[in-house]
Amino acid sequence: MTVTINDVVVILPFLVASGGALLIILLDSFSAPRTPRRFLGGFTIFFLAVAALSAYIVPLRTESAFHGMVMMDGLARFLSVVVMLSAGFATLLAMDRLPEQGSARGEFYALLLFSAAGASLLASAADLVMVFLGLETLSIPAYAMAAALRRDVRSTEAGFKYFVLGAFATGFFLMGTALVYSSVGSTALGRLAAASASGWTEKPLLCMGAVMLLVGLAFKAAVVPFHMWAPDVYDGSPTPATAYFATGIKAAAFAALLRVVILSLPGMRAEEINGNEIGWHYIFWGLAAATMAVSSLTALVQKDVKRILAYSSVAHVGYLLIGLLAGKPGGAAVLFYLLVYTFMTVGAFAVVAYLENSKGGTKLSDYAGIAKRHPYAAAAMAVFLFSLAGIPPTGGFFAKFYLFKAAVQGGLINLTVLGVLFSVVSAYYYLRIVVAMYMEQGENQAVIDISPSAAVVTAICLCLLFTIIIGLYPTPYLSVAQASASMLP
Amino acid sequence: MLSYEAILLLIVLGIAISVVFVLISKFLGPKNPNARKKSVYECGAEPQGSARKRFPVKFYMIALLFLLFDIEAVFLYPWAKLFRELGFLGFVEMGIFMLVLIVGLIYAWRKGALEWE
Amino acid sequence: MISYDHYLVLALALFFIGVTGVVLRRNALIILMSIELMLNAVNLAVLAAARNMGDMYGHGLALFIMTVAAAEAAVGLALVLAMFRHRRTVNVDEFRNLKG
Repeated sequence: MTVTINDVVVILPFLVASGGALLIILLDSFSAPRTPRRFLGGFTIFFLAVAALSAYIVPLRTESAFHGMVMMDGLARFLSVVVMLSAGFATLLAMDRLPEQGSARGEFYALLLFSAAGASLLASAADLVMVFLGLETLSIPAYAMAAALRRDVRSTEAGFKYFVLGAFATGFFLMGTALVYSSVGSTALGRLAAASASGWTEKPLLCMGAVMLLVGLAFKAAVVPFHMWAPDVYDGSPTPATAYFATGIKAAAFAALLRVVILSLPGMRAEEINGNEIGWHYIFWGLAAATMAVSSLTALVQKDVKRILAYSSVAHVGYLLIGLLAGKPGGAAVLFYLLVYTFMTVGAFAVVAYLENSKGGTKLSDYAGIAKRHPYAAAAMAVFLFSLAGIPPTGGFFAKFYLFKAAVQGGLINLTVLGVLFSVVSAYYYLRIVVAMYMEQGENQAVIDISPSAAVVTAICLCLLFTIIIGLYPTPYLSVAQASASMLP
Repeated sequence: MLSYEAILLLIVLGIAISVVFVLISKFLGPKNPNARKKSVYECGAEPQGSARKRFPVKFYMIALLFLLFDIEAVFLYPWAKLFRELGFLGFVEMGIFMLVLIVGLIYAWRKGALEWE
Repeated sequence: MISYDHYLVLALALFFIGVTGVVLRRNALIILMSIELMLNAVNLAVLAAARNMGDMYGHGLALFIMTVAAAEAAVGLALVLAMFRHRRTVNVDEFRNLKG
């Protein structure tokens, strides 16, 4: 039993983020009880930045460590950076908005760092045990973050719902792990790939375990029909937490789906048994179609901007599932999509955070006519919504373009047609918000009486900048995504 | 399987004998109950009110802390058993682990979770 | 002879009793217990499999599951308490501020 420098370097993003979290707990403990905790946000962003950079310290090749338990490859690096970005933006949103909404405590930042550390560990897991530990380090702080506004019953309820469904999903994931372990005799993802390569239809425990792993991860990623918690949790949680759940946690959940199902069970993709094709290819096909359809159609009738954005994030899970199915070209497209998706979704939630006040102000009717009072915020929101709908020249257009291109290359013509179709449907509900902002008359002028926040404005501007830059010149970002995905087996 | 026969026999006999004794005393024993006889005999004080009442939230707080710090012994025990094999590296790793726990304890202390009143 | 299959069937039975509890029961504390039952069923399956194969990794996994289950239970209990402070009940049917 030895630990080498290499071992430590490989999990450096995890160590930096969790070490930062511990330091913030201590700083918070020894600060005077009623002083503002804003300075902890600065520390958080510093640690997140160092963690993101430390993913790129090691030579850019696949490094395995701790007896093959963790593995730092392109996927792990890229997604660690996406998660740290998402957590950094969430910190910016939290610095001014959480104290106003009645949570002036420092724990939020520590929880955020712990959760980001877990996401980084999850992205670099090479063993089901590490996937489980990453998933839990990611999720348990998230339950508490959802309930951060202790005086708000909606926030507490969101935390409780997130907890019950999350723990339920963990149970399924663990039972899947147990069954796979008893069938294969190992939890290493590499051994799993070898065991599932042939004759898996003769191994009932492996099949059952794989299905349970898929169910557990589908809950975490909010795939229909396991998405019921997402709109409630996203709606009730404080907006900074929601922005992180919708982007950082989603990216990590997709890392897990990619590693556990797509890469580790390649043999179970599709096989012909008695004239019927079975395998996870068909399950994913159905899940992707159902996710796009149900979320897009439900979003049409929502009356709250946060809920519309929640269903929109579920819809994007559907598009990302198409990318997962598309094989080798799909990997780069999914990574690029997750990066762009993070900027535009965080941006949209940042505008929501900018416009909301202690009395709420996230209803669609509250947004009526706000373009007159807050022209810049409304314009930024419009750009993010256009990008989410995939309208050029925004980053969202290229993200969808490369994703569907990869899907066509992967032979998924039917799914691509469905994806384009539901993108058109989604444009309708995104435009509802734009129409409310620009064309309707505001009835309740007093509701959105906001206090300006420099940190939130910074987050909006950065997201806006990247959404537009990627829309105008996507090549460098795409090539980074391609380089990251090219290391995948 | 054979070695368990004796236990099965013991269980069956035990149940049978106790049922027989209860039945015998039920049919043969004289019965003239009064209030003192029907009270809880030599089992402590008379119960006052229902046992199903709400506990102060402080107990839950202590329970939460106990749950978290108690379960960590799960890792300490195997480490203690393998202390020599794991050597200095194991000691350092456990030190880091305890350090994390201590940070948690400091947090609980500074936030007043350890105060009873 | 009690074989590995018996343990597996018992573990799966316990697991699905837990699943049923989470889905059907309305008391938040019972839901917490059902989740614990699911995780402990997993522990049984893992330990039986590890013992069956003579592999030590399963024992390590069981330790991790126990610890994480405790951490999860602590957060869950804290959330139930927070919910109780708002609502004065632990019936989850009363937790419906977020139905959209």
